[in-house]
Amino acid sequence: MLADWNIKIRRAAVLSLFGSLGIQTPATADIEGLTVHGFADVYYTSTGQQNSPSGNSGFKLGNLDLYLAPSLTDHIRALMEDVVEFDDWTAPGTYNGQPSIDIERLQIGYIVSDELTVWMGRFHTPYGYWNTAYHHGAELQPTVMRPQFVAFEDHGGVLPAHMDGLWATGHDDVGPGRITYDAYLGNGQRILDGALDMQNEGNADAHTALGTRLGYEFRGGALDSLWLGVHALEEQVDNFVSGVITARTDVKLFGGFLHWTPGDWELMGEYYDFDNRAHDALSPSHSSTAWYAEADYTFYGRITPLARVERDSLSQHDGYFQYLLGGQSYTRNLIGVRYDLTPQTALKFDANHTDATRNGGQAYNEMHFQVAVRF
Amino acid sequence: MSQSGNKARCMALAAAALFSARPSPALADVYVIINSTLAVTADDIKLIYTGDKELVGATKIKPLDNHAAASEFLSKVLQLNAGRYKSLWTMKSYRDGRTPPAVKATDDEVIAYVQSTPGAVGYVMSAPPAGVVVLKKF
Repeated sequence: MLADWNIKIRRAAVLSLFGSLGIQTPATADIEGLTVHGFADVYYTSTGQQNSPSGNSGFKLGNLDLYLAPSLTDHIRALMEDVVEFDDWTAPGTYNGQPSIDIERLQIGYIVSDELTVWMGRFHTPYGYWNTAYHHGAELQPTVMRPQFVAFEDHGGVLPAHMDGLWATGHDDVGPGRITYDAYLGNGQRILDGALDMQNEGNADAHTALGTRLGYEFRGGALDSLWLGVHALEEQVDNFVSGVITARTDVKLFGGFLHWTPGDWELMGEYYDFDNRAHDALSPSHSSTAWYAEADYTFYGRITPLARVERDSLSQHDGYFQYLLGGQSYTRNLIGVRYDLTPQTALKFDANHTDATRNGGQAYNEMHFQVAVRF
Repeated sequence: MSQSGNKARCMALAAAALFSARPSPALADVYVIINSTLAVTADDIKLIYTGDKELVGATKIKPLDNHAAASEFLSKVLQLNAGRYKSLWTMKSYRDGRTPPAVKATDDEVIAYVQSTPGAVGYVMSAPPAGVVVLKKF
């Protein structure tokens, strides 16, 4: 049943991409110079965490994110995003603060209609809200840091924030709003040095990741702007140590999300339920959950106090979470405030208490002050 | 009451009526105009300018901002301020690779572009000349 579904999805994605290329006639390019956009942020951190994998207290450089979005013709567009960052997670106590350059996105898309765009390349994996809404745009997101379990693969996140593959996305008006959808397939991830790797150089393990996000966005009325949805992803993830596979895990996740901006309020949340099982084993699956909920309210158009709770309960018998650097259960309560100094400059302060003692980690307090710009 | 007093009062009332009838800049009319080949409706205007509608069949819609009329348009048609509008397009550009509307400086430039460019949509504050397709007057 699942195999049939996989085959159908692959066929549909390939047919829609190449079929649409054949149907539509090329149009003239629409590029008048090429504008570089970007985000940058710097921050100060004070943390009570000992041997923090994200580094010590003090002033830090965040990201320098540059992206290009040329429309090559009326139907073809590209998205290219490079990031220089200094705060990759490392093994605890070995933080070195050296810069690293990541090609965050390299995707080329064909716009068939408002209802369907097909992308190929490396893209932000469409699950939940945060990952595609803000991603490396620190100035866009309300808080200094992402929710921990939604963090990037090299920052202790437990979800594949990026995917190399094919992605079909679109929306269609239905009732008082519109249905939104995303369907994607890509190289299966693997775990290298405690972080998910999306295999940019090809699918060496021949495991395919399959996922979808379905949503409904209300327009008008009392529920105007409410976007509700569900998401699912499945793939086999192998853990490598010195080139040797030490665990194979079939990862399945399902969950939901919402984002709503009634007036000056902003409410959002995401939920993930994992049902992972060791590959080639008869052992029972391991259940894990992760969720966050956040609320903020903007006064005078520029002062935004906020609060967020994060909870995850990750099975340590699961070969997936067992080998991820950020694969331990934790709870985090966060409060903060954002001040929009200008439409392109945000000052953000937040403080949190994190408790990761359930799996032998620490309980600690932390605060961040960030200056973030976009240009 | 003297005749001259009544006359003065009538003149003051007439002047007040005349003054109040003059449109203030904040209430100026906005005409949304389209290229004659573009098949869209007035209901599509908000979708087009918020980046949620970009194609009609195989024709790409090319919205145009008018620097001279932007504040009226944003206020009356989109109910957004300039900051929110800019942020909206920053997010569209970052998330979806969308290109924000090009900007022209005057009504005349907008009219010339819209008339000559298939798929073009623009807005102006002065009543456009005959031959220009007005989608809706706000």
